[in-house]
Amino acid sequence: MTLDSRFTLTRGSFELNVDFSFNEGEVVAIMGPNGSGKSTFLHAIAGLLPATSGTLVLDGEKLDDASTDIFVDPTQRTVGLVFQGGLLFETMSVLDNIVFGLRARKIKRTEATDQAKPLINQFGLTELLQRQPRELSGGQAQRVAIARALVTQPKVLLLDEPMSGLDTATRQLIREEFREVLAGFAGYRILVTHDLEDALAMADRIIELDHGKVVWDGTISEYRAKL
Amino acid sequence: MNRSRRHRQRLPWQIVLIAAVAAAFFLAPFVGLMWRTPWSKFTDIVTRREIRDALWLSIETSLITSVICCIFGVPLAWLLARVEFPGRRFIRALTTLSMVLPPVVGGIALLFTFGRRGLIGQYLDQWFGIRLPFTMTAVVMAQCFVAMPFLVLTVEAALRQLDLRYEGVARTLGGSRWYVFRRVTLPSIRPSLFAGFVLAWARALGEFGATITFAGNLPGTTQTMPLATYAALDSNPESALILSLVMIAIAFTILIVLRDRWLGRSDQGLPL
Repeated sequence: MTLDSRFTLTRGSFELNVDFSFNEGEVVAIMGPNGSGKSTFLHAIAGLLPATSGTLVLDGEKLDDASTDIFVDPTQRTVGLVFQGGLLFETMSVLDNIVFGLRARKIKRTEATDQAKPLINQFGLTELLQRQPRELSGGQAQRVAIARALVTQPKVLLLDEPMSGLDTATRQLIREEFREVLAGFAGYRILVTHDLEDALAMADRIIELDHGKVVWDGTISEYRAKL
Repeated sequence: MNRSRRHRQRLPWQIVLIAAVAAAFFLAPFVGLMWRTPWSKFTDIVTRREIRDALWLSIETSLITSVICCIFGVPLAWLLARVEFPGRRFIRALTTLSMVLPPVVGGIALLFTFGRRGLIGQYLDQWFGIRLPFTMTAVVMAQCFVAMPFLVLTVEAALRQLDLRYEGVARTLGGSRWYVFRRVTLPSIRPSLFAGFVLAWARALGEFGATITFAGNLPGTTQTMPLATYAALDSNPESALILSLVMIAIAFTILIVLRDRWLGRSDQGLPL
């Protein structure tokens, strides 16, 4: 099974042009400087931006086909998204953040909490459930964000600069945790980062973008050889 | 200590002087008002029936107006902030036009639209027997016309400042647009929504020109506090003074409530 992204996405004067496939099981790091199109790519996978031409196909199902007007809504894409800083909903408790995806599917709060229990335990969040996001440390917020993304059992996990803005010590710790999360996740795993160290530590393959174009696509060992 | 003395020496006296004149200009009328107020008759006048009616009508209509402004203004603000559509700039200009227009012009426009012979009013009358001018509904319409821009602008600004990625995450988690709006967007802009509500309410409470033109000045039905104050100025200046004071008190209360939320919490400045 593959996630095939072969599309062009134009926004104003910027054009993102990608043509590659992801395999289930591999962790792919998308790298590149600011403005290279990393985030635009992530938004396209998540269904927050439509492709201008070309297709996006997940396990044989077309998610986006600009020529036929097929566009699967983000709510139906089974994509988990984790942004830098966690981007937790500030007006909700930690628990409400975690179960948001279940509540959005009209699952009752108590039932949703039960369903989220394994994740809550896995990430050590039991003590934090009643806290407000602003009371969390950077690392804690990031863990909540991961749990929130995984609770709906997505097929694709997208991490957008998840470790930016954390101090070095927390970064080490979180990197370890992320590695475990990624290892334990069965679907497609895409990590967007501008930090080579993060990419080398967590990914199997690196795709480098620059000005919306792919400038490198290869395994970590190939990338190391290039360095 | 040392720092503050340095700052004090640098304080530009020219600016302070001009600022003091401006502040005095705002203060003087209130002192003048209070100086002439017949305090001994305060309770007597405030508890008079027509004054109580005007006060109650003002509070009632302005609160109804604020709620209507929220119900219609929030979706409008959302549309202006989030959706690119042809004529968006025109709609925004139109929405805020009444902030710049003399309210009496708005009143005339409303009268010639919803009046008995107006563009829409004639059909309301013919088909449903509804006559809007000189009713409480007309008071609310006039107030909405001038007050809604305050809510729309405040909420639109808040929506524009909101990081779109929050809504994006919520969407990927399975939230429908309406669910995300209700659970993520609306709670995030609550402080601004509150500020917009209070601003619209304050504007509605002080509405005069559009109201008197479109709704008239009927005691008990359309005579709000500003209208009653103006009417009293001719016949009973003492009442006008006291009514003015009541309105100042209300306005001041609103500003104090708003101080933290709208005017900013920061009181930082040069140490004196």
